[in-house]
Amino acid sequence: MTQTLAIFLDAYRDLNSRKLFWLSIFISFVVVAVVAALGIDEQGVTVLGWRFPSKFVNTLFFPPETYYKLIFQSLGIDIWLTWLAAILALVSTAGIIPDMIAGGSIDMMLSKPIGRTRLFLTRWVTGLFFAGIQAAVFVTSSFLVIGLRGGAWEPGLFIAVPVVVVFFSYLYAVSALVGILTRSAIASLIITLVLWLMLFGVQSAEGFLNAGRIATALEVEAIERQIAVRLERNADADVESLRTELESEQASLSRWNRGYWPAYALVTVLPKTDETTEWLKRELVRNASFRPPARDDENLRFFGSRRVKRKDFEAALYEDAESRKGALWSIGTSVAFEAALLFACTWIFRRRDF
Amino acid sequence: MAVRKDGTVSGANGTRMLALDLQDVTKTYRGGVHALRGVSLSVRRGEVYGLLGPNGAGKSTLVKIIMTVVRPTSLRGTVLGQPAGTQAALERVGYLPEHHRFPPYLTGRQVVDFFGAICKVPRAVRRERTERLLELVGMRDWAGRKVTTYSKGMQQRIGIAAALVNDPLLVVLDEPTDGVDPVGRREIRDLLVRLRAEGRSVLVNSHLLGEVEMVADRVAIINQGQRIAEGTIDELTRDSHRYEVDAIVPAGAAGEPGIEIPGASSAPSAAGAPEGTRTWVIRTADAAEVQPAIDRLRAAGATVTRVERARETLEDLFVRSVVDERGRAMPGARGPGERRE
Repeated sequence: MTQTLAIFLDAYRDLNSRKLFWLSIFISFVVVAVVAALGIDEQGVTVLGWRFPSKFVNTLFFPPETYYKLIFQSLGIDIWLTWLAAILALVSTAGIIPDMIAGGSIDMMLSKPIGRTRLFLTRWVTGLFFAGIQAAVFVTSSFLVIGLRGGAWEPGLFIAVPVVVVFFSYLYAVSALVGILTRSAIASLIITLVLWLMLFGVQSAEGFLNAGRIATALEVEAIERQIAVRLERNADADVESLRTELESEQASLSRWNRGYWPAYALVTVLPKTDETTEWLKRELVRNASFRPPARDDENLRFFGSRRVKRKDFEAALYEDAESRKGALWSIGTSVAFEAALLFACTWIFRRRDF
Repeated sequence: MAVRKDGTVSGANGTRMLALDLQDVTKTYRGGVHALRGVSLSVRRGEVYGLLGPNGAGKSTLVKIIMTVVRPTSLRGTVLGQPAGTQAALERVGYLPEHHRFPPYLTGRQVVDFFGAICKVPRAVRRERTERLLELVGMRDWAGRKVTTYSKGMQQRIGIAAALVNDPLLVVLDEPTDGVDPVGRREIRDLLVRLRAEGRSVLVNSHLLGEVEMVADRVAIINQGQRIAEGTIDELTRDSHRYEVDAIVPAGAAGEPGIEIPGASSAPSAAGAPEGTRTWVIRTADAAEVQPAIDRLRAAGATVTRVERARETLEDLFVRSVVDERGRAMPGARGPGERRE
């Protein structure tokens, strides 16, 4: 325990000495302060007492509680915690493992009575402090703003802290592996960012194919319903053109499925940064009375049709995510990938001569 | 075998054990580079042991194997009675690596305290010991400053304090005087003597042979991954023991200028000696064997100005051993004797 506490204290001192850490904490406060400075009333939005009338953004459409929650969701989670703060955290922590294994440093540590596995994993965990402290500061501030300005006290909001840490840990496991292989903080950072971008691409592709698959399935159902209704009204009704269209849509659905399932399998084995964020949003809907997240407008326009309403499509996507992309899939499989990377890191670290 | 609370290392029958006892240590790096080819060495309790060798001889690899920084290809032996290469063996071992690097965000005091904690030293003990060690290495006044502001010598002192924070029974120092000024070197030498007096064993790896010679009880010379010599400096230089007798031989003295003395060679003394001074070298470690030579010189009218017992320096021994080894390794190469001619 003495050793673990010493490494944790050392990590705190390390963070404390990094300007980027304090800068990101400062930005977190600024972001929350800006949100707190915003207000909403029946006529529109206010900023530090200045009123900006709006026909759409006012308390008739958005109660204050919803208004602040939406800002937390779209600004806090979508932009700050899962992108900008995560990038700052990666920049700041990319050097932790390379620094630890640098000549001179590693000799001092390995010559002490502490196992290599324990040393590596403890040091790796300290790398998560950055993201953890940052998320805790931001979420606590947001909790206060939503409570004080929006009038809703939502302790469910705090689920965001561990989820953001877990989200960051996927990337940090990659960073650690690259760091241990290359001993370079720069390589570690660049390769992690590139991999993150690739993951984003793969997940976007899976999301696109899933949207196409669901939209086509809804289309197929709608045509089948249309045929059934027509036949019910008149058994001799001409439904040939509908049947042709149905066959075409079924063929299309089959193509979407052929594309989708391999993508789904690929995403399943990879860490799911986007899906983890989406899961968090759904969790906030369940436990902190947030609104279900709106889907991407571009996708909706792309897949919209006369038969399938946007609302139905959106609901089907949400249902699909709820049924298939729970915590086990979104987070569990990502953590499994992360565990595999950490196992590789530990294996290399245990066997390497320094 | 066990390390007692009072710090003594004992075996099952209560006998004192070797602090370090390594047998047949080999290390072959990837690519087939043989860094160590079956090195054995033993450091006794309460002795300063010098590890010598040219660059690339395998000294650092051996030290790193002892400290578990490098994994051996094969290793038998014990460190303080525990199997070598295990974590348990390191609890009472202190180590100062050659090119150590401390976390730049720590102060000197925090460095010592941090490594104490990593060695599982309880907090209260650590605090008291940290202050005492900072005092010992002369860093107490600067202990609150970040290590990045320290000179190389100051960092070395902090490194030594960090190596001692777990109250080690075996201290392994890799180039401890590196970057330290002459005053600091003397202090470090005094510290090594003090550690020995406290019953601790010290393994010193250093290029500064003069430094090692002043404090080491025994030395080992490693070359090309093999131990080529081990023993006390006296033992290793036994063949070179001699007496040097300086005498001024007056003009016209019998046998002048080089009065013949059986078993001795003579030559004009080095510059700085009075004119007409010659030096006779008698190869013996026994003072009694020198007396007839002195008598003979005096009988011949010479004035004896100096009689001194001498032997090969550690540097001479080191160079001879390494060159001998190279000579053996490279057929056709000339031996040291031939070089002198």
